[in-house]
Amino acid sequence: MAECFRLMQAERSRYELQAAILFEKGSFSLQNGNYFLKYKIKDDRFVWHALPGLATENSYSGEAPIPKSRTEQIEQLVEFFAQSEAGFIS
Amino acid sequence: MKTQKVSALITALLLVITTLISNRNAEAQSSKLPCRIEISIAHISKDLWVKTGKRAVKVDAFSRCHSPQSKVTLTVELWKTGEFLNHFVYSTVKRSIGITSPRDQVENFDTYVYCKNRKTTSYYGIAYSKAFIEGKWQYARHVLSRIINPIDCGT
Repeated sequence: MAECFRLMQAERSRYELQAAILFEKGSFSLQNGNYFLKYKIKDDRFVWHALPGLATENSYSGEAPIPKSRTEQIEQLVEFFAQSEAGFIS
Repeated sequence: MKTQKVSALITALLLVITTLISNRNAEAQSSKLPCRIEISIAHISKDLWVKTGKRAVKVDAFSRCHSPQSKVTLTVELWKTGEFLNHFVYSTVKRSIGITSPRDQVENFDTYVYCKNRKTTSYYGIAYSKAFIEGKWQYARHVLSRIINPIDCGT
């Protein structure tokens, strides 16, 4: 969780760019360490999936409601991207 | 009049007996359930507060089964109460591969959201799971946090 907070601050400008891509395309993906991260807008929710490169690793996903205003949406996505990249308690 | 009293007494007795039997059946069934899920009360993460001074509301859950389980999917949802409807806040799913022995538990401790302000809000968690046990898919029912907790944390 502390890593998530660090990422929210350190990677904010990258996350804002990612948010713009997500709004434009509706989905995108990237590689983060051993995990392939997929993001998409599904109905009224932001959704992420973390798929492992190795078949022996666990997989994870998360969902959050999409706020009404664009400012809130960007703030939500900054936290959302950081949560998905921060790693998981296995 | 006397007949009516006797009839009412018999009805009351039947009701008590039926309730006792159904309670006993429910207890027996619950002790036979293949898996057990526990979810915490929504709380402010102390660890994060100590490390960063930042506050986040969090719920933790785990699943444990009597038999070896595989392909466990444990979903944890964080909700807050509203005036008319409750609101979904965040959810995470952990898909555990491999086999988990009856001694071990599958944990999902990754469901948290940062507080945006100090507005008092009531939160609770919901957890549910599915797992492949003894050759078939088993589904664990939705479990709610024992207490809906008001926390000084607006999200």
